[in-house]
Amino acid sequence: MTFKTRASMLAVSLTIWAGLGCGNYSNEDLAFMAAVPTTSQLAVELPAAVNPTAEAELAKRTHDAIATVNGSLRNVLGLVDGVRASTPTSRTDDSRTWGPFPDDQHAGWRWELIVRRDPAAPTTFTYDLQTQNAGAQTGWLLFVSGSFDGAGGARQGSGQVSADFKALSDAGFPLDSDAANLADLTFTYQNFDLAGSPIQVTMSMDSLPDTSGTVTSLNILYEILSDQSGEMSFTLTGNLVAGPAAETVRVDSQWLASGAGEATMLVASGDGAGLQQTECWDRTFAATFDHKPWSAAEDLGTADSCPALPVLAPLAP
Amino acid sequence: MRRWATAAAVIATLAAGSARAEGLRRFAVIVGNDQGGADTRPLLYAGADAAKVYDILTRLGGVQAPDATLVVEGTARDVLAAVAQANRQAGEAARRGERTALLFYYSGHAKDGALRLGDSRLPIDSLRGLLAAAPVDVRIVILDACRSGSIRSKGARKAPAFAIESDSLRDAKGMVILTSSASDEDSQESDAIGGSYFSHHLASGLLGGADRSGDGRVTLFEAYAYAYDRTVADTVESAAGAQHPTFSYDLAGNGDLVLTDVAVRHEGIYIPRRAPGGVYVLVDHQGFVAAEIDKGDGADRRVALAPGRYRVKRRLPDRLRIGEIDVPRGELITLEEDRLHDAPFTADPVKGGRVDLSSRWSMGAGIGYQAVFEAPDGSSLFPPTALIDVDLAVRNFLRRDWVLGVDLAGGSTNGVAALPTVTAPFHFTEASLSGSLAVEWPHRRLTPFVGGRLSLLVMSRRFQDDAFPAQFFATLSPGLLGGLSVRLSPSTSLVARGRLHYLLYNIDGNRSLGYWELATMVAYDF
Repeated sequence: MTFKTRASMLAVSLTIWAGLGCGNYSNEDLAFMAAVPTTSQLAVELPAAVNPTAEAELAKRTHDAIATVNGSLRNVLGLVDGVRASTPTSRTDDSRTWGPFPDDQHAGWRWELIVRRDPAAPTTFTYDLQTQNAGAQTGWLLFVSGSFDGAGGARQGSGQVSADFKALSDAGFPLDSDAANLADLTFTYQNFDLAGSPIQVTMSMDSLPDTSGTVTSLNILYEILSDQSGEMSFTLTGNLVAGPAAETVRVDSQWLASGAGEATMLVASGDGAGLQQTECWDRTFAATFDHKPWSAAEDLGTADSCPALPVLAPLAP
Repeated sequence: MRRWATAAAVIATLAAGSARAEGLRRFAVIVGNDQGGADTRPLLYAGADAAKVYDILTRLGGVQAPDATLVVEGTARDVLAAVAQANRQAGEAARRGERTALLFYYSGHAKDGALRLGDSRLPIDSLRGLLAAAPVDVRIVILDACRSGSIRSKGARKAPAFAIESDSLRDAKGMVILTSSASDEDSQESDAIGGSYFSHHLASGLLGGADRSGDGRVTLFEAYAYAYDRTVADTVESAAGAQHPTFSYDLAGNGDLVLTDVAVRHEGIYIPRRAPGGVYVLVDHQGFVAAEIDKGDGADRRVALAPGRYRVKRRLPDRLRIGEIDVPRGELITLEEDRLHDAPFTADPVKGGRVDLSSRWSMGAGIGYQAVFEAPDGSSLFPPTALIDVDLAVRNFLRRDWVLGVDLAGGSTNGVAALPTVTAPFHFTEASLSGSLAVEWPHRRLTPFVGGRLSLLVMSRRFQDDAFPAQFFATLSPGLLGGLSVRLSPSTSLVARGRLHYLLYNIDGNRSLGYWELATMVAYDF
C-alpha cells in the first residue's frame, strides 16, 4: 500500500467520522434561544382573589390588566415558545432558523422563526417570527419582531418585542377571538436574572377602532421582583366614563407577594378629569380602605389599614 | 524407550533426599525470550515456558522466591545481572556453610555460539564460564534452544540416553547440562501444547509425570528421562524431524538431585494405579496444557497442579475420554475414571493442533472517570463524568495474546453551560458502546496491554430551564488504550486502564476535542 493510498484511506475515515457525528448538542443554540424571551419569563403572577364577588375594585382592575398582559404574552410569545422547543432547522455562524413548520391549528399557514446575531456585537440579537399562507402563494408576512442586547451578562439585558396583529388580520389570518381586536402590541423589557433584581416590562397595546367605544389603547408598565411582589402602572384610553369625551385613565398598583396591595386610579383627561380614587386590599383581595371622592357613600375604612409597601423605583416608560 | 525402566528403578531406589530435605540452598535464574533479533523468527512460547518453569521451581522445587529471578524478554545485560545477583547470594550462603545449587534455565533463540536475547547476544562461552565460576556446589543448566546440544562443557561426558549411573552423583559437585536438542537439531514449539516440546515435557515431568519411582520426588534424571522420551516421541514424525534432548555432566562425588517434590504441597491431581494407562492431558482454565502425563498401566502419578479447574483428556484409538476436575487449594484430588466420559474427537479441548484459546472469555466491571479536552470557550460542553463500565473480552481469538473486547459504559453528572448571554445548568448523561483490540504481554502476575478502541458515544443533557429542549450528540470516536492487569487469583484480575480518544464535535462547527479516561475494574476469566 502506497503512502498516497494510506493517506486517502485516512482522509476517507476522517470524513466518515465527521459525517457520523449527529445531534443537536449545541451551546450556541442556547445563546440564540435565550435571545427570545419566554412567556413565563415576562408573565406576571398575582394570587387570585379568595372571593371574587367581594374583590376590591382596583384590585380587580389590576387582575384584569395582568390577565391582559399574560394573555397578550401567550398570543405573541406562545408561538415562539412552541417553535423554540424544537431543534433549529438550520444553522449559520450568526443565525438559527426554525421551520418552516405547518400551523396545526390554522390549515394552510406555516411559520418560521429566524434569530440573528450581530457579528460586530455578539451579544446583540434580532429575531423575526413570520408566517406564510402556503396555499395562497403569498410571501412571508412578519408577525413578531424583536431584539435583545445581552451585554449585561448571562440573561441580563434589555429587549423589545413587537407584534403586528393588524397585518396578520389584513392578510386573512384567522386570529383567535381574544386577539381579533388587537392592532399591534409592543413589549420592552429589562431582563435581569440576578436574585432580587426586578424585571421591568412596558407593554403597549393598540386596539382596532371599535364602535363599542371601550378601551382603544392600553399601555402597561410593570416591575416584577424575584419574590413575586411587584408594581404596575396601566393607562387606558377610550370612552370609559359616561360623557361625550374620551378619557385617559391611569391606575398605579403595587402589591406584596402575599397579594395585599394598594392602588390609585386617576382620570387624567376627558370626562371627570382630575378625579382620583385610592383603595387598599388585604391578602384575600377584599377592600380594607376605599376613598372615592365622587361617591363618598362608598368610602371604606381608614388609610391605616393599607399594607406597608416598599418604596420602588417609579415606573417610567 | 523401555531401556529407561531399569535405570529409573535404580534411581528411584538410590535418590537421596528431597527438594526440601537435602539441605541444599537453591538459586535459580529463569530466562525466556521470544525474540532473537535479526535473521530469526519470533518464537511464541519461550516466555511462557520460562514462566511455567519459574512457577514450578518456586512452588515445588525448593527455590525460595527471593532466590529466584525470572527474566522474560530481557537483554543479555539483564541475564548477566541476574546471574551475578544469584552468585552474590550463593556466595553469602556458602560462607555460612550452606551447600548450594544454581539452576539456570533458558528458553529462546541460540545461534552462532550465542544466546539471542532480542537484539542482544550472550556468548555461550561467556555464560558457561560465568556459571562454572559460580560459587555453588552444583550447577544445573537447562537450555531449550535450537542446536543447544553444542553447549556441552569442555570435559563433560555425554551421558547415554538410556543408562544414567546415579550412584556416581551422590554428593555431587560440578555441572549438569540438559539441552532440548542435539547440536544439529532444531528445537520445536507446538501450538497444540502451547510451548516447546522439551520444556513442556520437562515441566510435565517436574509436576509429577516423571516420578517413576512413585516416591513423590522427581529427580534430575527422572525429569530428563521423561522429557527425552516424550520429546522424541512427539517430534519423531514432525516435519523438522525428531528432536533429541541431551544430558551431559561434569561432576565429582556422588548423589542425585531432587528437582521437585510433588508431595510437599499435597495439592493437585492423583491418578491412581487402577486408572487406565495412557497419556493424560490436563488443560487449565485458560486453555493451556498444564501437564501431559504418560501413565503406565498399574502405575500411579501424583501431578502437583496449582489450584483451579482443569479439563482432562485421554485419547483412545476411536474416541476421547474427557472430563473436568477441580483442584481446591491444599487438596489432592483423585482422578477416578468415572469422572471421564466418552466424547468424539471434535470435542477435544485441545483442538485441531491448536490449543483451544478461543474459549478464554473474560468479563469485567469497574468504574472510571472521563474528561474532555475542550477549547477554553467550550469548557461547559461535555462536563467531566464518572462512568460505570462493563467489559466482555475474548483472548487469543484472532491471534495469540490479542484481546478482542466490547464494553458498555455509562454515567451522568451535572454541568453548566456558561455563555456570555446565558447560563444554563443541565444534567448530563453519557452512554457508550465500544469495541477494542489490544495486544497484551502476559507475565506471571502482571500483564501490560495496549491497543485501539472505537466507541459509539451518545451524550445528552436536559436543562433545568424548560425553555431549552433536551440535546444529544452521537458520534464514533477512535482512541488508544493501555494499562496493566494484576492477577489476584487464577481467574480474577485487577485492571488499571487509561484511554485517550479523539472526539470530533461538529454541531457548532467542526472542533477536534478528544477526551481521556482512567478506570479500574475487576475482571473474571471464565
